[in-house]
Amino acid sequence: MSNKIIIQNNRAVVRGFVVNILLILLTAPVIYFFYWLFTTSIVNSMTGNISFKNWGFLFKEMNLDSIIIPIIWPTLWFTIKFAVLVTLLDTMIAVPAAYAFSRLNFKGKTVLMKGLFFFNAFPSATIMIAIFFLLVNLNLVNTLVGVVLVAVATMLPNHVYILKGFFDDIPWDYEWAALVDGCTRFGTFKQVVLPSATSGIGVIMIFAFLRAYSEWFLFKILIFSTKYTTLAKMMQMMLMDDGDILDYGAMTALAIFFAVPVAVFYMLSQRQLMKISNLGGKKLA
Amino acid sequence: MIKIENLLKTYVINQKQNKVALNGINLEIKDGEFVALLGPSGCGKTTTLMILAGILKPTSGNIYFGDKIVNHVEPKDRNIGMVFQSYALYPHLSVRDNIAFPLKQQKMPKSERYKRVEKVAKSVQLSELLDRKPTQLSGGQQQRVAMARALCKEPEYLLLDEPMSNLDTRLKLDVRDQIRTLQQRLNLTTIIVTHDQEEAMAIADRIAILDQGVIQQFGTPKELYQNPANLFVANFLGNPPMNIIRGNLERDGDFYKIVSNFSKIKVFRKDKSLNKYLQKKIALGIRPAEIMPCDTNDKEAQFFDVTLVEHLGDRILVKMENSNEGEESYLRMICSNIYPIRIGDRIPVKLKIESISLFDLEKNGKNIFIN
Repeated sequence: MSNKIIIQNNRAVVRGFVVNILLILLTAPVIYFFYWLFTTSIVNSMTGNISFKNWGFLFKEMNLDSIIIPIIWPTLWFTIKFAVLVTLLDTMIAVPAAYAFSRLNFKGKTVLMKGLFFFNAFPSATIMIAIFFLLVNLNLVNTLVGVVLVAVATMLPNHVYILKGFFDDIPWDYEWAALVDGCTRFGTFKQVVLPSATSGIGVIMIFAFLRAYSEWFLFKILIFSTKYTTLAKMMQMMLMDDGDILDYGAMTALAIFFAVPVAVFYMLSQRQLMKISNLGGKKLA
Repeated sequence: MIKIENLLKTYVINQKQNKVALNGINLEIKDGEFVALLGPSGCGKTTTLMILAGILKPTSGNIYFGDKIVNHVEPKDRNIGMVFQSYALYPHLSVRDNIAFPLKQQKMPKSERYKRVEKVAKSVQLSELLDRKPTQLSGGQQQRVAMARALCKEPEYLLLDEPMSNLDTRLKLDVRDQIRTLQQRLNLTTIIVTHDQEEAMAIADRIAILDQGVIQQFGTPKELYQNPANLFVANFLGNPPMNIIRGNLERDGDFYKIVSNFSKIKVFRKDKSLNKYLQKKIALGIRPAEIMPCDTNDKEAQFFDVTLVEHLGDRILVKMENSNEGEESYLRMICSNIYPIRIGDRIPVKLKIESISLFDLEKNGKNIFIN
């Protein structure tokens, strides 16, 4: 009896050992990558001296060979404002749209549903020329409104589709019960449907925020000056036309600075993000 | 009083096809009455309830609550309480807030509505569970929360949609008694939808049996059981089901007999009114408990071969036939276990004549004795 337990324990130990080795092997490259990123930002590759010169953008303007990196905080502030604005607009449109797709029967629903899928298939780069001319016609090119609209529009189909899945999972019974219990249609939506879909709404908000936070392409195409610059755009500016990187040290420092808020955000929203694995599948109550 | 008048409900499947869910329902439910809507799945019973709740709109026909037509009244203005099959408890709210939810919609102040919740919760033994979330409750507890939520706004009508189908058998008995007791105490007009005939018979004052969107019969459990209006009701109610023997009605001396391919069952009845059914296709229905063993020389004795005996405790269920051909000719009999009946015996039995139902197969199985 006790022998058996010992054997079982030994097996568990061996299994745990194997699993840990595998995990270490798998994560080692990633950890090395971060290590390299961090050391490059503080160690001078020529002399081997440690210096925080590359992090200068935290305190003052940095003058590299051909471009000037301004002090970082206004750019960070602008990036966050932009991301929040896009997130809110995206959510405000996606929630009612997804609810309608989930619950209502209207003419052309099937076609529109297929459309959501279809529009997901295009990388936004391929439709950028058309979008550019559209914005020119609407006088929105080179404006922040234009960028926000395009950013929201390109992520909406995907988010409506994801959110529809979450609404589909809410049984009709909840809504019927609320109606019988004295709610209006809107009251039902507000008091019963929305609270039941918080995880889904959280998921698309995270998606929207992260995507807007790392947006640079739209600013490059649709804005002709540096008056609106996100962190990602700033990094992009450090790439030269032939693909070389202007200054490795400054680039890595900026990359780490860029990544920290995202990492913090991920840690805070981890539980929410885990629910993404349920997308499309039916959740059991 | 609830009155349903010529209720019709059709669903559009596509441009050419409509599915008829309800095909002319007429029903009148008295105040304080407990009515069950009973039928096989897809018979339209839940659709009827949904229309009563106002969740679905009728295609045509009228619903009266009292004297008022409520066809276009929103569910929230109908003053109904409803329990769903899934209970539909709001997962993000505590038990207390679930029960208080309808009161909150009436803009009742918080302290007052929580006081009311305490009172209702006490009547369904939920007082200790008020701070839990619905997912932390067992099935029976969830069911009670759903009941409490339906009752706390003191509705005029209570609608129950298969409220016990997710409970285990033992719990069902308790819950059913509780529901009945509550209903009687509050004198609440209640409609329950169920596919469980035992439940319907036990709990309801009157039962409406539905099939294919039509009410087949509406009456007290006893009426339905003893005088089924047609073959469907006869077949549907009772467990084990009523014995049905189809055949031609023929004369047999002073009496009648049913002759089918497989069997001859004598009907010891002198009723002259049966003459007009002679040589017509009819079906005889008799409950297993209305057949009994008798003496060999009893003048009403008919002989059957026993093919199966099942023990039901104090009684036995005997399956028997009077010819060796075919399967359809068997009868089931339930009798006391004092009779020493074994498989292979040939035993004399007689049918309790006054309990026989005859159905006219040329008129959709209508009961001959009921107009």
